[in-house]
Order: sequence, then C-alpha cells, then structure tokens
Amino acid sequence: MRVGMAVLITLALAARARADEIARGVVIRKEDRAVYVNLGRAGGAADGAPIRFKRPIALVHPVTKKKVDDWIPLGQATIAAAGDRLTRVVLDDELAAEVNVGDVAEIYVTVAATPTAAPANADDTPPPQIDPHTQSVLATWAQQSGKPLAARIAAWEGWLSGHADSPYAEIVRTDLETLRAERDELVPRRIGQAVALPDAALEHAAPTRATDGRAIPLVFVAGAHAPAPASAWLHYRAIGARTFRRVLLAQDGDFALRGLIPGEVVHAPGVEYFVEASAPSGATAAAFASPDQPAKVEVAAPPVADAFAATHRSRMTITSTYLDFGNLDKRTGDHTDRVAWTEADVLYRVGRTLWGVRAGYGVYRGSGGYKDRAWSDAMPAPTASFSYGYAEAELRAPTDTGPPIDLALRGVAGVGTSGFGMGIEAKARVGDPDATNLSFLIASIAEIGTFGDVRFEAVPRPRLYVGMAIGVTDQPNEGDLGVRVATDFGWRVTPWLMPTVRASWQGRSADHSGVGAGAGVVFDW
Amino acid sequence: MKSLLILIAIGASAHAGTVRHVPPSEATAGEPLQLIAQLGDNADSALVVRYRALGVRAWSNATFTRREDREWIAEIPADAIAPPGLEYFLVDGDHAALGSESWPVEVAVHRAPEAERADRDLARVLGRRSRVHVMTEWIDYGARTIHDRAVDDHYYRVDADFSYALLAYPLEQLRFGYTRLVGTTPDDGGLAHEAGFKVAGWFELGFGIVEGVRFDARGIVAATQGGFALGTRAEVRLGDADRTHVATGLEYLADVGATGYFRLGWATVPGAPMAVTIEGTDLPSSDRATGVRLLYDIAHPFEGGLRVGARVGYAARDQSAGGISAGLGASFDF
Repeated sequence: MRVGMAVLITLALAARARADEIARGVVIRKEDRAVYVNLGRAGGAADGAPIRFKRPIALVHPVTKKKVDDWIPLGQATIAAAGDRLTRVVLDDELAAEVNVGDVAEIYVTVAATPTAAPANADDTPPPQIDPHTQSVLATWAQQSGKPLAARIAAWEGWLSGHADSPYAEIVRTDLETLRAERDELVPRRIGQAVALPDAALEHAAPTRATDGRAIPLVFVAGAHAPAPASAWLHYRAIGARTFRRVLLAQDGDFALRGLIPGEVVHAPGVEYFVEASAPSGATAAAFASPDQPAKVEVAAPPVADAFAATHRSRMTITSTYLDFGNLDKRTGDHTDRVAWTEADVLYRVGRTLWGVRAGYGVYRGSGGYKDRAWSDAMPAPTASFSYGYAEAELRAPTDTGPPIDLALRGVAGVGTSGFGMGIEAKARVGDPDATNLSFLIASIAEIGTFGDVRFEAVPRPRLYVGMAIGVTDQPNEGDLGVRVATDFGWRVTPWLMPTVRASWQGRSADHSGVGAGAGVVFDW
Repeated sequence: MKSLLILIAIGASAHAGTVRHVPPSEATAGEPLQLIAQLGDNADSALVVRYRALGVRAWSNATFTRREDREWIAEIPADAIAPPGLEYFLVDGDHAALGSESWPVEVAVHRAPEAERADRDLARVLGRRSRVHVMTEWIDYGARTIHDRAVDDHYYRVDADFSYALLAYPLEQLRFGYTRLVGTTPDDGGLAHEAGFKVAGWFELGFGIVEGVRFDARGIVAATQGGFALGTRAEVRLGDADRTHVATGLEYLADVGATGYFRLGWATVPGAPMAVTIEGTDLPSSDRATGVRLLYDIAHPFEGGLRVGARVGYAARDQSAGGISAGLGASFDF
C-alpha cells in the first residue's frame, strides 16, 4: 500500500513537469565563461533568448527505493549566438564556475497549451491511508522538485532531525550524501562564510567544564520570535584538533534541537563546538558560536593518581645469565674470563609521558676480562663482585604518528669490592616495548665497566618472543673490549607466564671466545 | 541560594500550550535547581518537571506554579542535585513538552574542583582521614673482622606516627611521629660503639602539588650520641603511598647519617600491595661508609582499617660483609 501510494505521487509530479514545452540540450564544450550547447535554431534557440542550466542527479526514492533521475537548477543566462546546430552562451562568473560539460540546458518554446490527461487515479476515491512515516517522507520528497540544492539539503536534514528513527532515515541519508557531494563539487563548503541567516541565533546554556571521557549532551533552542531552522548541525572537535566533526541535531518539540558531543573526544584540555543552522531556503549560518570563535568546554586531565590505579600493567622479570669469554679458547694456560649475574625487577607501565617505571635488584660476579692474559696461582684472575639495586624510568616522546619513541634512564646503586658505587644506564627505544622494537643501550657501572648494545625484539607469533642483541663490553673488570652476540627466546605459556632462554657467543679476540647461556621467567599481571 | 534559571516561553509564533525551553547544561551539587518558566496564555497549565539523579531509578515530580504574568517556577530539591548529574523531562498535561522518559534532558552536576578532589582523595582512603602507624626494623650489615675481631654493624629502628588527612589543598596531610634508632657500628679504630638516638620527634607536612603528586617535608629533632641534633626528610611521590606509586627521597639526621632512596610500589596483586626499595645510606653513623640496602615490602589491608606489613632486605657496605634486614609494620585507619 505504502509503495503504491508513493508511485502514484511520483507519477503525478512527473505529469506536472511535462506541462511545459521545453527544448533540451547538453553543454558540450566550455571555454572560460562561454559554453556551447547542442541546440540550434531548429530546436527553438534564438539570440537573446533565456536558457537555463541544470545538473542531472540520480537519487533513490526513499519509499519505492527505485532510482530517480532528478536535476538541480544551476542558473539562467541569455543566448549570445544561436547557430543552426549549436548555441553559444556567455555566463557570468558565478554561473561559469558551476556549469560543466554534460549539464543540461533548456529553452522554453512557446506552443499552444495542450490539456493534460488527468492521472488515472484522479477520481473521487478517497486516497489510501498511509502511515505517518511514509506520509512525512513523501511530503518532503514532493517538495523537492525544482528546488535548489541547498534548499533540498536543508529540507532533508530538517526531516532527518525529527525522524531519525524512521524506517526511511537510512535511505534519506544516502540521498543526502549524494546531494552534499554535488554541493561540494559546485561550491566548496566554507562553514561560517555562508550567507547570513537572519534570526538564526539559537539560545543555549553552554557548559563550562566536563568530565574526561563523558559525553556532553547539549540542547539548543530557537529564538522566541523566530522560526526554528530547517536543520542544524553541531560541529565539535577536541581542542587542538584541526578539523571539526559534525552531527545533525535532533528536533525535540517545537523549539529544541538536541545533540551530543561523544565521550571519545572529551579529553583534556577540552572540546570546542559551534552550531551551523540552515533556513528552509538552504541558506546556512553559524547559529551558536562560530568556527573562528567556538564555545569551549574545559576538561580536566585525569589526576596522576589515576594513572597508577590501573591493573594489568605489571611485570616481574627474573633472569640469570652466564657468559664465558674463554671456554672456546684453545690456547694453553688458564684464560678464565667469565661473568654471571642475576636480576629481578618489577615494571609498572604508567602510560602517558612516563611510560613505565622499574625497580629491581641484581647480583653480579665475574673474573678475568683480558684476551691474552693467562692466570696462575701467583697471578689469579681478577674478580669482580657487585650487589646492586636499580631504578628506571622510561619516558615516551609525545607523538601521534609513527612508532613510540622511548628514552629510559636507569640509576644503579650497589656495593662492590671497594665499597659503595653507582652506575647509570641509558636506553633509547623505537617501537612498542611489548612488541616489535629496536633499542640502543649504553651503561657504565662502578668497578664493573661499561656495556653497550643494540637489541631487536619481536613477537613473530602470538606466544613467541624473540630478542637479538649485539653488544660491546669491557666487563667484568674494565679490561679488554669484547663482543657479545645473544639471542633470547620466550614462550608465553599462559597470559601471565613466559619462561625465557638465552644463548650467546662472546669473545675479545679470535682466539679468546666462548659461549654462554641464560634463563629467566616473566610474570605479567 | 544560587539560582539557575530555565526560561520557558511561548514564542510569538508558537501555538498556545507549546513550551520553549533552554535547559541548563550544568548545576552545582547540593543546591536546589530553580526553574523559572514562562508559559503562554494558558492559565491552567499543568507543566510538570519529572526528574531524577543519574543512577536513580524512580522519577520525582515538581509542578510549576505561576510567579508573575507568564512566568512560572518549579524547583528541583537539593538532594536530587548530585554528581555526576540529573536528568529530567517536561510534561504539559498529557503532552511531552521537552524530552521524555526515554530521552530525558541531562544536566551535569559539578562540585567545586577542590571539593571533587577531596571526594576522590577521601574515597581512596575509604573516608578514613586518620592513621596511626608503627614500623619496626632490624638492619644488619654483617659482622666484619677488624684486627682479628668480629665487629657488629647493625641497628634497629622504630617509627611511630599519627597522620591526619587535612585535604586543605595544597596541604593534604599532617603527620607527627617519633623515631628510635639505636645500633652498633665500628668506629674509625675498628671498635664497636653505640650509634643513633633514643628518641627523635618529627613533624611532617604533606603537600599535594597536584592530585597524585605529593611532596612530603619533615623536620626532625633528636638527642643523639653527640647531643641535640636536627634532621630533615623529603619525599616526592607519584601515586598513592598505600598502592601503586613511585617515590624518591632523602633523609638526613645530624650525627646519625643520611639516606637516599627510590621506591616502586605496586598494588596490582589483590590484597597484597608490595614495594621494592633501593636505598643508599650510611646509617647508623655518619662516620660509616655508605652502604646499599635492597628492600622488599609486602602488606595486607584488612577490612576495618587495619593494615599489616612485613619487610625483608639485604644490606651491605661492601662485598666483604652483608646482612639481612627484616621488619614488621602495622597501621590503623579511622
């Protein structure tokens, strides 16, 4: 029933459109402000005669869902020169900017009026009853014919703001997008520089502050002595963002227009917004605040305390490593050169600029440290011993694009054979610390020596962790420099447990080298 | 009483009985929200506001009454004005005037920023502003052999204090306490001698620089082995000291020594907040070499405000000797 009624109304509209005798042509060429139309004298063109231009547009009827070929009026001009087959028209600047090759040109030809047959259903039979949704959308559709683009958009937006839950809303939105795309092609949209809209100002009690992450409901009310706008858009953005997002305000009663700034953009330092309204004619204007001077709502940053309140950010790591620089040394004599250390630490991922903090303990033992020295009872390998604690803060560079860039600084305090000593370690990291990343580290610790490495970490499979490192060190006794190449593997047994193993090769010369190993366990919770 | 006006009027172009409404976008907690309305010619208007605080199930009504000419007034009582907000809709007789039960108008309700911060701070301590706290600790650096004699190097420390959350920002907390620190440590000649003090009193101010960033400053007076002495302590902390936090600080006590530390606490294991502390110190005597202490704390908060904790650690001044630290603590919040 509903579809049948829509077809009847559509046919009736079409019948009325055929009442004028019109010669139609197409713009086939454009040179600056001059356009050529494939209509000649034989088709009714004459010098000085008016000619109008239209843009064909394909829409979908909201009720029948059938494709409807419609048109948008672009403007009218006068024929400069009419030839046998072509007509030349010189347009003013504004119209020249809109008319393109392919647009329709029409010339009115005066002919004797011919009575139009009445529509088949134009009898006394009462029209079929249709539901309010269909009635409403058909009425709006019927008003569209021949209306300028802006007026059509305003009418449909106004309809949508009051019928967002209509079964036809989705298809109307689709048509609206088509119309808007056409408008944007004709005249690039510049909000706030639109035609002034008299009495467009809306009354509104603007909020001054909002809660982080919580949507901001807003109500705008048309002036007491002014008609409500045909439609209105709420434009909003986070403070600092370049572009506004927008949402169509919904009608509530005769005067109110309501909208919501979604919680996803409500973050410190705040959001800003304005409202753009359209008159039934399609003219638009800022109706509350403006793009240049939007209303501002402050949003306080979440307290630092909250950054430490989250769970599932903790990690405990226990590792033990043994490195031998001499167990592959085939030369005679005692070339002892090895180190071993065990560390246990806890990491808490704070987030924000302070990505994480870590604190832990370590015990380091070593002996040797020289590539060519052979030890004996008279000259035993020098030993190193250091028991220490460390604290680390990892800072993240503020960046919205690209991989995270972190800088971690670690302070070390401990006691060695000669007493209290300190050390420092700096690490720069590119990439997600919990996924693929590349880091550069340099460390210097009292009594033990220096160490630097380049380390690549990845999670090539959901449960598999791989780390590869190339390092240089003079540890354990600030002796000869050596190279260390290590590979780590981890297997996440459960979401909170990941054992790791390490294999390494290290050497201080071609003759003086060895292999090492390590193991560890990582707890995440 | 701070009034917030809502103007409701019939526009010249509106039909009789329609309502024009500019809702407020925010209100102040604990203060009634007065609605002043302008209705048209309809003297028998039955305009009613139906309201409820966010999170409350039942709706309440307030009827508009004529104030003057076309101006009518209704008031939502203070007990309905509470954070985070309230919602309402207007009904004029049988007709919805603005909003509806399924689509009410929402008004954010705020408190003063400092009051909101105090609410959050109080919520973190479950409304208990006061705390008594006792911590006892035994620290052993290990006996070292000097001139063929084993010389002890250890001390114990007892801290007892009372704190009160004032929440008068930036001053968050006041704390009074006593400390006893007595130990035995080798002197320059390798002989054991007593170090520390029997009683020290201290007073601490806790400043909340911003919410979650705390600076504690303490002044200390003590009667040490050398007589009257002053001391001080300062700590900067991010996060809640009883929960996840990072802190670093310094403590100086004349004659007794100085301590610098870093602490990471995490409360991510339910019912068992923990902390790791790295400490460099020459306690119990400023004449002693600086050592390092590596500490691990664990606590358990009970319902009712009682919290007990234990500490274990390792202390050493060099690799030749080291010892165990152990401690017990308890606090009660009320």
